[in-house]
Order: sequence, then structure tokens, then C-alpha cells
Amino acid sequence: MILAHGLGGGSDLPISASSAVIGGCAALTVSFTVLLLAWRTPRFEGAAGSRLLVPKLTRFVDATVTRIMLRLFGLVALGFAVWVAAAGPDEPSVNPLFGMFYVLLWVGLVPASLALGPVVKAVSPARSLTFAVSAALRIDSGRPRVRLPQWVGMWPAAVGLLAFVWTELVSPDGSTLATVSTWLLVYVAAMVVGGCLFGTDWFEQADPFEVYSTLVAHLSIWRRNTHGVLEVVAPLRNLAGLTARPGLLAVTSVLLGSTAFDSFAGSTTWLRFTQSTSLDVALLETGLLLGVCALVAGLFWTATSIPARSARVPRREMPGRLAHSLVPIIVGYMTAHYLTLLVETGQQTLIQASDPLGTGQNLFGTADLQVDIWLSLHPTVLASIKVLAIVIGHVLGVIAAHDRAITLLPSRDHSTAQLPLLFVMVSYTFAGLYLLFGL
Amino acid sequence: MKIPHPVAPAMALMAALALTACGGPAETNDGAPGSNTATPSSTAPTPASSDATSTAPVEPTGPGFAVTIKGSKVGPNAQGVSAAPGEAITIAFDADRAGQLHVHSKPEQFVDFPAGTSSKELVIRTPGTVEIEEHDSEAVVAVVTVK
Repeated sequence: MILAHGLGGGSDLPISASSAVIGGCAALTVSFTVLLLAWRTPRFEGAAGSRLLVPKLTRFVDATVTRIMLRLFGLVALGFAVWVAAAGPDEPSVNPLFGMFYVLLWVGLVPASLALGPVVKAVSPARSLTFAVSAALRIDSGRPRVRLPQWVGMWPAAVGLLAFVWTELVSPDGSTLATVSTWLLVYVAAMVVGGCLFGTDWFEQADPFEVYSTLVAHLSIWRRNTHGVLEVVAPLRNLAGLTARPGLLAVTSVLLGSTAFDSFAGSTTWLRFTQSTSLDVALLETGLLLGVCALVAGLFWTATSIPARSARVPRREMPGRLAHSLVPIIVGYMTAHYLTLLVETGQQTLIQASDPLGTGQNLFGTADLQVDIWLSLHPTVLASIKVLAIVIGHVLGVIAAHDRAITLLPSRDHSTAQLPLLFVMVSYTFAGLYLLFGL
Repeated sequence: MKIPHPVAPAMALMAALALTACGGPAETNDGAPGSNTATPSSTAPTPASSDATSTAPVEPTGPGFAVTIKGSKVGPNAQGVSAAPGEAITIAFDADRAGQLHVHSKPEQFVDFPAGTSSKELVIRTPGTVEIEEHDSEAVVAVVTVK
């Protein structure tokens, strides 16, 4: 897809781009110092703490009518996608399938999950179809026929996420109908077959959209207590409740690394290089995408496991136990990177959805609307949001990591053992701002 | 008409290194139209503007770029152009075939050009970074920053 990424760049900042980068890195270091001095006991761990139970809301959310409406919404959206894939033109400026897939689903799930909790889980048409298929086959979908070994964890989702970002960012045919349709077909098939074999755990471990959404939902204010009642909690307390499964670091690294890759590959410098080289660009970009994800993971893994000699858990568990601290960083980076895309291409998609075949229909009454480009017209606001999103994301990441680290490390090692992780987080901030603003 | 591009010097260096590393006569033209179509002989006039005068006697003062198509060679290579919303961008063509430019603005625009030399004006109203692609070759000839 050809997307407008370039607005709100370094030259649009109210301060110079280099000040923004230095300021961002300084903010992180200062936060860490303050944390070391003032934050000596964990605040987000465990089930305790001030809580606000919302039983009425729980009853509404869990009501059969609500559940069915949410599932119907997911199924109707999938049905619509299948219809426009089959009957619509192979043209991103007319067919809304591309915007639905790459923008409304992929980018839209971040704010939706942040505001409302694990939304993909609630609407997932993959889950609904699996219920239908297992009912038809008389399989008990709650009980797995085959048990997945423990080590599988979230690795299938990491593979699925990588497949998605590869299709979006690397595949030369990423904006053709055939590619998107094939991707969706394989995705639904893998989910339904897996769901029938491995039970509903499969979706929590393998559905890239659900895993991503549930990850981001851990930064929302919504959580369920041990009795299943919804409660309002501080986002970082919610985040600390994220289960560290094998593959969690792989999932977070793919999400963060792919966004960094997109920043780089979207630059005009890279475009000029790809247009003048005789090398296989898709192969080169595949290697680069894998390399960036591996670098993000490798840095984090090294920084959290090497100094963990004195930790209270086995050293190999440390990266997974701290990987939740990457979630706010991902959300910050996604906000900075995809805000205009979501707001403006998102509107464009809703407009196209009314006339999905390009035949002059107006199904939802939105066909004649115009895209509101307020954000594009205010690049300074946009650039400031980008810097703030990156810096706030990283500061929250440092806080989450520190809160977890002090439960895992003996007090004498609190500062020294955390320094490598601080260094890694500062380099993520630096790289993130650098790629966004191209100093 | 070389527009400074807000790109990291380190990244430019990296790309330059990668370019030299691949050995071939890679085009490193950064805005100079026609340099990638230069024949091996040394008779070709070096300043591109000297042959541009034949198509546009009055050098346009506003933003613009020159598209050259010789066989499978399409240039320039993603030339950076800056324009204000609604400002006319002059596109000069020197092509050995007819074709069409796809302007990936919101909404999409198309600029048809005939074989031979010609000149067209393009207006983009929506701010953003807009890639302009030569349709048949799928080559991005210009990246316009509209703001």
C-alpha cells in the first residue's frame, strides 16, 4: 500500500528533532533514577490493591444478547470481507478489503483494545466459526482433543504476526486481492482446524489478531477478578497480570521490530536504493525484517538474562517475566507510526465500504463523505503526539520493568542488574525517534 | 532543482555504501534528471537543464521534475519535490513511448503523457507524502512532500 507516512516529521516539531531525541532519552534516564530512589517495593504485583468492581457492567457484557451481538458483528464483518474479495475490483482505491485488513483490523485493534479490553476475543469470527464447525462435528470445543506441549506457548501467534507483517510490508503483492484473500483463507482454516484439535486455548496462543489485542488490552483499565467480575484497575497493574508464556518475547519483538522496519523501509532513501539495485528486493527486505525483529528480541534477551545471576527465578525465565514491559512501548510506537493512517485511511475505508464494488452503491450512507484531514493539516500537533507517544510508552515500559525487576532481584542488585535493560530501552527510544524523524 | 531531503545522513551513507557494494553501474542520481539515461559515450551534455530548454523555454520557478523514459530505463529515481497544497507542479516528459503517471494522492490522480517531449501540470491539494509512479514500469519517479 502507498501510505502517507511522511507528515509530522522532524521539521514539523515545535522543538528541533535532535532536542526531541535527546529529551526523550533523558526522560527515560531520569525516570529510571527516580524509580531507583523512590520505588523500592513492587506496587503492581498480586491481586491486592484498590479496586472498583463493576458487577452491573459485567452482567451487561456477559449477557447472552451482548455476546451474540458481538459474535454477529464479527461474522458480518468477515462475510462482508469475503463478499468484497469475491465480487469487488482488484483496486485498493475502490475495494475496501485492503483498508479493512491493514488499517481497521490491524491498526484499529490497538485503540479498541486499549479502550474496551480484549475486543478481538469477543468478536473473533475465527472463534465463532470454530464453535459452529465443532458443533457440526459433535466435538466438545472446550476440551482439546490434542494437548499442545507447554513450550509451544505463544510461538504460533508470533509466526502468524510475522506472516501478517511480511504480507503487509514486504510482499510485492501485498495490495492485491489474491494475496489478501489467500491470507484470510489460510488464517481462517488454521484457526478452525487448530481450534477443533487443540480447543479454545489455540486462539489465545495462535490467533495473531487475538493475541495482539489481548496483549494491548492488558494496558486497559478493565480486568476480571478471580470470580470473573469486571474491575477497574490501573493499567500498569493490569499489565503486571499478563501471563508470561513461552514465545511472549517473540510476539512483542515482532510487533516492535516490524514497526521499526516499516519506518525504515518507508523512507525515500530505501525506496531509491531498491529502485536502483539489481538485488532481489523482497528477499533483502525479508532478511531485514527478520533481522530487526531478531535484534529487538536479542537486545532485550541479553539485557534481561545476562545480569540475572542473582535473580529468584531461573535465568532463562527472566526475559519472559519482563517482556510485558514492551507492551506500552509497542502501543506508543504504533500510535506514533499509524495515527494518521488509522484516522485518514480509516475514514477512506469506511467511505469505500459503502460502494465496495465501485458501482455507485451507497450501502451505509457514507459513500459521499469526504475524508477529514485535520491531522494532516496540523503537522505540528501530529509531530508532538508522535514524540509524546514514544516517550510516554517507554517511560511506562521502564516503570513496568522496574516494578517487576524488584520482585525478581535481591535489593543489592536493583540498580546494577537493571542498567542493561535501561540501556536497551534508551536505544529503543533513540531508534524509534530517529526512524520517525530522520535526524 | 535538487531538493534537500529530510533524511538521516547515516541512512544515506548506508544506502550509498550498499550501492557501491553491489558493484554494478548503479544509479546514484539524486534528482538530476537524465543522468541515468546517459550513454557510455562522453558526448552527452552533462547539465540536464541544457536539453530541458528545448521543452520548456522559460525555466519554471515553481516546483517540478523531469521524467525520462528510454527503453526500460525510467527516471528520475524517486526525486524529492516539495510543494504547497494547491501549488502547480510542472512535470516535463522526455519519453520514447506514451504512458501514465499514477499520483498516489488522496484522491488518486492520473497524468497521461505522449511519446516525445511534453510538459504537464499537476496540483495536489491534500497534504502528505505523495509517491508518483510510472504505471507500466511501476517505478516511483518522484516523492512529493505536500505541506
